[in-house]
Amino acid sequence: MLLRLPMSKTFLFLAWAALLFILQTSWLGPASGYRTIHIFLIFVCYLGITQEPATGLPAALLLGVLTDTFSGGSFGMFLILYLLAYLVGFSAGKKVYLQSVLYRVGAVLAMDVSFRLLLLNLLRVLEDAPVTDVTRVLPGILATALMSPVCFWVFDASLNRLEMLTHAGRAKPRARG
Amino acid sequence: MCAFCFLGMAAAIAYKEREQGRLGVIQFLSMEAAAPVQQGFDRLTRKLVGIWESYIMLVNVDRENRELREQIRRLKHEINSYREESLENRRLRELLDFKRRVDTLMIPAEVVGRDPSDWYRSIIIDKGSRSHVRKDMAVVSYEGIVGRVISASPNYAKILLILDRNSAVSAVIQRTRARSILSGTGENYCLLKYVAPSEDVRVGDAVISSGLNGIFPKGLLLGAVVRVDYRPGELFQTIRVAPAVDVYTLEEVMVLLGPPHADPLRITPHAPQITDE
Repeated sequence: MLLRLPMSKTFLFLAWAALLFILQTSWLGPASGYRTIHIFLIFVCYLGITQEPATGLPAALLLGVLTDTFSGGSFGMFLILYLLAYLVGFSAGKKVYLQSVLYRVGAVLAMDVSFRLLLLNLLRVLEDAPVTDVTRVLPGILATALMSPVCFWVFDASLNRLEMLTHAGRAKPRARG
Repeated sequence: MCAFCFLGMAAAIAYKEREQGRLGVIQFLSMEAAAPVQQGFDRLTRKLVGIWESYIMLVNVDRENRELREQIRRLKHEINSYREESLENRRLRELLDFKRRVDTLMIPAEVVGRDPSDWYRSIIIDKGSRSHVRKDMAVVSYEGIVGRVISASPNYAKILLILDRNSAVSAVIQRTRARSILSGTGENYCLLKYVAPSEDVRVGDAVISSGLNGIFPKGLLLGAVVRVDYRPGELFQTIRVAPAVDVYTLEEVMVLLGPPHADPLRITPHAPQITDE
C-alpha cells in the first residue's frame, strides 16, 4: 500500500537520521575531536528550514535520543538541543528567505556557532567542564558550514525522488475487478 | 588382339617399374597434377584448423582467464580474512596473556559503538548486566586501562574513556612513584594533575594506576608522559600524557568483574579465577 506523502517524508527523514547516525559513529566521528563536521546539525537545520514539524521533527528528535543514548553525557541534553535547533530553524525559515545556498550556509554557520557555545556553557554548568578555547572549535564550524550545501543538495535530491515516486504511484490507474 | 598385347605389355612394364620402385607414367602424371592441389588444400585446411583451434583456444583462454581472475579474487579475499583472523588471534592472545597476568575475574567484550558527539569520549560494548557488568567496573585492554563502565543495559554497557573530560584516575609515575590524578581533556591526550614542581617528571615516563580509587587495579599502564611544562609561580606542573591504549582503533576489551586486589605485574600463568563467557 502506498503511503501518503507526508508520512513517506517522515519515514524518509527517519531513515536519513539513522544513516547519518551510523556514518557519524563509524566513518566521520572518531579521532577528530572538536574538528568534526557536525553533520547532525546540518540535517536538523535542513529539517527546520524546509519541513513542517510533522515531517521534520521526529527525525530531529530521533537524532537527539540516539546521540544522548550513545554519548557519555547526561541524557536529554542533545535531545533538547536538537529540538531547539529545529525550532530555531523552523521559525527562521518562516521569517527569513533561506532558499539560496549562500543564505543556507550562513544559517548553518550561525546555528553551529550558537549550538556549540550553548553546549560549551551547558557543559560548564552541568559538568564543571573547563572553559574551551573557542578557536579550537572554529575549524569544525567552518567545515560544517562549507559542507552544508552538499548535504542540503543530497537531502533535496532524495526528497525530490521520493515525491516523484509518490506522484508516479498516485498517477497509476486503478485496476478494475 | 593388338589391344590385349598392348595391355599385357603395359602391365609387364608397370610390374617391372614397381619392382624397380619407380612410378608409372599415369601415376606420375596424376601425382604431379594432383599433389599441388592437395598441398594447397592441405595448407588451407591446416590454416583453417589453426584458426579454429586458436579461436577455440582463445575462447578457452578467455574463460580460463575469467576463472583465474575469480580465483585470484577469492584467494585475495581468503588471504584478507586470514590476515584479519591472524590479527584478531594476536589481539586475543595478548588479551589472554593479560588475563593471566591480572589476578581478577574478567570477561572479554567487543566494542560495538562509539560516541556520536564531539563532546564526550565513550564507547559501547556488547556485554551488559546479564554478563554481570555493572557501573564503575574497570575496562582494560592488554595495552592498559581503557575506561570505566558508566551505565549498563542487559546486553550492552557504556564505557567512559580515560580521555573524557569527566574521567579521573588515581595515578602514579612509575619511575618516581609520585602520586597524581590522570584527568581526561576531551582531546587525544590526558593531563596529569597535582604534580608538585619538585617532582622529577621526564618525557617518556610511564604512568600507571595507583589502585587507590577502588576501580582500577594497581599497576596497570595508563600512558606515557609526552610533555612537561612548568611556569614559575604556579603550584603544579602541567604534564601531558598520551594514553597507552589507542581508543579509536580498539576492538576488544576486558571488563574487570572481580575486586582489584592483584598486582598485574605479578605473573600468574595458571590463574584459576579466569572465567570465560
